[in-house]
Amino acid sequence: MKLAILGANGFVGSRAVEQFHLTGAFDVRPIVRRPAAMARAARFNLDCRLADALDAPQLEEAFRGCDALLHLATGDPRTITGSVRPAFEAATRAGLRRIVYISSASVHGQAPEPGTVEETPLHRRHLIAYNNAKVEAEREWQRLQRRGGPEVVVLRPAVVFGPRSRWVASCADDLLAGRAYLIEGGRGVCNTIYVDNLLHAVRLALTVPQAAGGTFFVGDRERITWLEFYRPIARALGVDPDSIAMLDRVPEFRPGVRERLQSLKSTSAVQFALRRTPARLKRSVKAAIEGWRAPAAAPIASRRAAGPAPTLEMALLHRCAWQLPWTKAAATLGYEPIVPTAEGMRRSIEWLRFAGYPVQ
Amino acid sequence: MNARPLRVAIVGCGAAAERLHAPALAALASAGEVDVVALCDPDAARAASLAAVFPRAAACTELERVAAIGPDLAIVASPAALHAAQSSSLLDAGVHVLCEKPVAASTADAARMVAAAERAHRLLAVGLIRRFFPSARLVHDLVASGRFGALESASILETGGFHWPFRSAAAFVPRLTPGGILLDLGVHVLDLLAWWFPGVRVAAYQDDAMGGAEATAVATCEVGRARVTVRLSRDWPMPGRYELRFEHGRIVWDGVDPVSVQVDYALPADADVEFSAAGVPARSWDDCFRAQLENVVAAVRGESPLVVSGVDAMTSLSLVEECYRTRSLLASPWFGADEMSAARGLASERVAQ
Repeated sequence: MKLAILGANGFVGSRAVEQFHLTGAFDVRPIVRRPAAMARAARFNLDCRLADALDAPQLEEAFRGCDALLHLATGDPRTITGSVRPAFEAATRAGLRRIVYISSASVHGQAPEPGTVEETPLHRRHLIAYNNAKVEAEREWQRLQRRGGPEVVVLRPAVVFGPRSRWVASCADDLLAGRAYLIEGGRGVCNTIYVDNLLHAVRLALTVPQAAGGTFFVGDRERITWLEFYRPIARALGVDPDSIAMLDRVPEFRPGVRERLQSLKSTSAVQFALRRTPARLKRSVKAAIEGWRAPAAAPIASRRAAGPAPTLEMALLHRCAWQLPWTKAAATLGYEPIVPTAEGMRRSIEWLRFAGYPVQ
Repeated sequence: MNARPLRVAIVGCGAAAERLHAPALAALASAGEVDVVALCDPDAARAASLAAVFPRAAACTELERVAAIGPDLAIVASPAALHAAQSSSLLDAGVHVLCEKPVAASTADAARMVAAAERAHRLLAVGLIRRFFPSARLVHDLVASGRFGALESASILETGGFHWPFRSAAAFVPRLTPGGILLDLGVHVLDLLAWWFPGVRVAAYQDDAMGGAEATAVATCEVGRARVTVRLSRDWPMPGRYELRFEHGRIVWDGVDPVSVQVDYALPADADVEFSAAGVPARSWDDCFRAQLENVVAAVRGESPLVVSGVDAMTSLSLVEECYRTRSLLASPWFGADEMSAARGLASERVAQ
């Protein structure tokens, strides 16, 4: 199967290119937006293409000759929602048979209610614009699928970690800088999935016939807490895990005007209206949004020169009390994690060493 | 100032020409030192884009047209594999050349360029810009002063290129750019090492190319008995760090700051070390590119020697070649066993090319 990988320079995309090419799982065609983003894929002798995820004609050219698409393109909320339709239309015209879209478990929020399953209704009232954009993107995939065209499979991973992951690198950076923190003792559930487990799910989603049209949580087998996620990274860097700041109180996070406007902007109705709005007016509105200074949502960072600066995302994640179930993926795709979390963490730490972090 | 500005052509109108050379040229044009007369790129839109900065210059897509216009100096900023043919052709036509780094794709090509310059009695300068950094010059002078004693060990980490606004994919097309981070960024690092420590040699080299161009490279070099580890990456961004450890001191630099280095050494009261860096009026990358162009213009006018000639640039290119000649696969420790096996096969295929 010839697989187009859109967003091939991202963390998951880079690993997908490596693993699928080296194992011969798929004949991969990496697609990136900028020439500088070709660096990782260029390690291999591959037909790497340039295309903007918002540009359907460019995508169609890049997809031509492929059988399926792994859609990993992301970015700001507008890119997340705006990259669905061009990809679907281009894939349809290029004759692709299946699309696997990497959504996010954050469509249910960073701390989903206990009992949350794939069928739990989604909403767009999240405080984080990214979540709302992912909800909107999933709804767009559902709408487009009704017309026919390529089959779509949606995967909803949560904390995808591994080599080059922001979870691992940011954790290391924060630990080394003395900025790392855990909320509520780090006892919250960290819904990890090692990147190779996610790619295993992608393989199944691309090839299992009954996956078509489905949406699936995917995760690691083990249940770990945020403290258990941070601890091995801290030890590898020679940082005492007991020195990680434990925060009992975090600021009251409320959505700022800018965040609410960005969420609104990513809805399909507003996107439709924006396509018919003169560019000059759009620029004025954008400048007004970006110029807005929300006074209420300032995190601790604004009051302290250094040290922990809790964010809304982390505050929610660290309070998560629910391990998202991947029983539906197991039943429909035959998904079972292939790499234990501890082994994934070991490989991630080896990557930190490879990248130049002071791993001891 | 000379009565007549030097007539300059730009060959290759990509990001390097636009971001780095054009501001220097514009500054010297304002001072009446140069006049940009030709802009050449196979992509007419690229040449036209630079024509907005130099409206009196003729935009063209063929190198022959540049020679016909008859500039005094050409800045060659095209993909590396084109440097030799383009520079030699221009030198043969009587045009002095400032060629971007790497001077060529191979030392054999570079030697042909040097020969062409000698034959035509024209200058071949090479854009190894860091030799114009006051910080790098200071390191050179500190090392040359001998005050620090022998080098004991050194480690260099540099990453880059993640957001460089390439105007095409040429940097990742092997027939245009036959190498990865080592040829692109490593040639700067190895040039500095060879400048600071003449006689530096390559002891071992590994990179992660698996049928393509390396994104991460690790070279182990030797300066006398001192081991120098050079790690380069465009796979993951990290803060750059040069740490040179001597018998009597230590120098730390980030590799890109043109002005500042950290020196751990207590100079005795009677120290008589002179630092040439103190006299270089450069505070930014733009200043350094201007200083480079001023040096080339002065050299063309016979007023100053070149800071970096084609012959000078061959040292670092030969170190790059030595790395590629002795390369082995840099293991990616997160790969599974089947991936590692395939990676070894693909890496050896590249060597066989």
